[in-house]
Amino acid sequence: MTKLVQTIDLITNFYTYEGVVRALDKVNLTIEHGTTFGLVGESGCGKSVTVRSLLRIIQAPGKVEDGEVWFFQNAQQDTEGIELLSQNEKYMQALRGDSISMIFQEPNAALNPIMSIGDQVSESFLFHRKQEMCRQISDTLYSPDCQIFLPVKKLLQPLYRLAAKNTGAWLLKFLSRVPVFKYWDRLLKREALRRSVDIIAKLGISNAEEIVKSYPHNLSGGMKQRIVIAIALACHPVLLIADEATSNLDVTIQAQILELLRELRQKEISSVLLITHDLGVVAETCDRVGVMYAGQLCEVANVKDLFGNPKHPYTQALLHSVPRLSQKGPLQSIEGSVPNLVAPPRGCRFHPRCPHCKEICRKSFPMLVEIGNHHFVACYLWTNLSRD
Amino acid sequence: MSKILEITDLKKHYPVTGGVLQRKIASVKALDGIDLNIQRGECLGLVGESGCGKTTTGKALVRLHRPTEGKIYYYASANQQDEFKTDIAQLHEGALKRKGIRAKFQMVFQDPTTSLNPRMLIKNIIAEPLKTQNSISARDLEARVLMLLSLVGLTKDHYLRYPHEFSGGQRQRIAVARAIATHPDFIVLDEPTSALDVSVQAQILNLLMELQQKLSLTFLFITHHLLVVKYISQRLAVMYLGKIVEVAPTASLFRNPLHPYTHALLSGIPVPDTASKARRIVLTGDVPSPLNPPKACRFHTRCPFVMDICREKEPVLEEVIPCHMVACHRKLEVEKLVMETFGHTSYEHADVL
Repeated sequence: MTKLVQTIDLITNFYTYEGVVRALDKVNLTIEHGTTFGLVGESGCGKSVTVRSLLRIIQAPGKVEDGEVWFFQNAQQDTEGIELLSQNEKYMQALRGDSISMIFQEPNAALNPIMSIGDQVSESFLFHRKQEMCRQISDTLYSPDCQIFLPVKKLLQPLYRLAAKNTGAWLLKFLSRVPVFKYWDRLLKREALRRSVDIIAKLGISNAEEIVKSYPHNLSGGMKQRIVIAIALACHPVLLIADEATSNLDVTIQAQILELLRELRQKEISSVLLITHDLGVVAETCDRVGVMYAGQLCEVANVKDLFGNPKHPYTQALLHSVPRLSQKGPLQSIEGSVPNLVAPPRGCRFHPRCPHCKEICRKSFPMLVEIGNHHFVACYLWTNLSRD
Repeated sequence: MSKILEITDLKKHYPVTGGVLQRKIASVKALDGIDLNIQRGECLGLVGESGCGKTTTGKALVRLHRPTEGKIYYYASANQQDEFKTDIAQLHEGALKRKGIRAKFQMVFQDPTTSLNPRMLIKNIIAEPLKTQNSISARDLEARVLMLLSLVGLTKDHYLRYPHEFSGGQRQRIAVARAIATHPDFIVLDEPTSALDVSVQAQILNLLMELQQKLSLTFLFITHHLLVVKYISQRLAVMYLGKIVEVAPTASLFRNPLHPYTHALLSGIPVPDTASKARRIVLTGDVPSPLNPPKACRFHTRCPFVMDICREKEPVLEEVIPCHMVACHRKLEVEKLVMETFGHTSYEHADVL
């Protein structure tokens, strides 16, 4: 197993008028090549903030304060990793949607209501694959069996050759503002749309040609979610982040989407980071699971170990509070509520709700320690190593 | 067991207007003929996908809107005589209040953040139904509100606060307190836990079960989460596109579902256990639009076992096993068909380790 993404002591704060919200406090997360990693926890525990910090798309009052995010693109690990937090914005823009892409929570909010589906999917090709597409088009323009009106072809040939070399050439930018000539990129857009139809059809939508002409409001929830997945998959990402990809969908549609993700994982993408609050989805799709509570990871384990043999009291309580098919007797609930992260509890953040709370839990918070078989727990019940 | 509500052929069609004169050009058939009995003291679960008419049913029963057609008989007392039976489907607002039916029917909504007025104090929120339904002195009112708060697990400290000061679970407790304020018989719970977290969800479910026993309430529990509904309800009704396709006691439904759609729903539940790897029935396509529902059996466009008769004739809801009603042409063969294609038919013990 080789690392794909590793965060080291990631700290993210939100500066609100109520005070500093410590949304992430030293999160150490490692995702490996070829696995599906599930991140579970209650709402407000920092699941989304973790991936947003990782992609550096935290918005205004929030700020990534400290830590490192290492990204190892090659599975062979022959190239050195890249530290994402120290890269410039341009590099990150090229990375997002290309190597790492994200399926956002609500398809209604993720899609632009006034752009057609085709335009939205091809946007990602036009942004990340422009040069490659220009090269392809220029090749076809120079090939002898190209069926375009000769003067137009003669005009387009040098333009596309130029674009294949340098997509940001000043001549192209200038032409895009001149009437009539601004249509020079027609072929490019047509190619992007063709690729969009391909990717949409690959996701099991039968009439992809008509779908690309429609608008988000014409489609149903499950269909919209597929389009959002299509946008994310457009450039064959190394890591696909699915932020609550199925939580707003119905059971039957959710089953369709999960099935789709499973198929895609076998064929297209290597790793998936699945964020969810539904433990059922995690049990079915993930290889490895991380449980978060109040901005900290409290347990990371292989999915079998976590569900069969949970160690952290919070994980145990969480698993007991989910109704099962074979439910007998009353459900156990976790007393109390999630702490306010403006003033989190001292020591272990779970201690006010923990049934096994000891003296040391109130004073210092436990580190994430391996207790065998790649099973990491942050709890003093399992480790007697205090930090000081 | 005695009936509290008897629903026959309930319909709700929302008009779609168009043209210059805003004439009615079509109608969304949100409910299209529902027959259902609700027994006194039970918790009936109503499940289905979004847009199938679950909430419309709930709102029709508490008369938040007037159904287009059909009858809703309400039995005010446990003995089933006709003089205690009232048809509330077409009663006017004033008559509903005068007869005390408004007080007997309450509803808890999905999202407590939107169902509680952010500018009202908790005491006013809970006292509001009491004030409108019966005249009550200020001192009694306060005592009653405090009693209700303690009943749902809140304390006197919470009396003079605003909704934004509470967490999601506490807000839902307040919404429940408001619903039980007027001593209702029947409460519609419209996805009361879907906006809450797993750990809080368990608290609310336990609270609801406790209240049901203490106050002898009847619940209609609307949800799309089948594990929750299995936990809380004794009987289940499955809806598809404005029709009820199966009604059965919960245990019987999970052990032996008879409608293909129920099979698909039950097999689609992600089970929080790694040991179970049951095969899943994945339906193709989406729910058709209720604006133009499929003819005859409404499920035939997505059904894996469709036959010619399904496209021609509409199946009726019939009792197959005692208390187990199904609307399907192939109801007697479904078990065999599912067994042949998927290898199992029961979902009862799917997650036993």
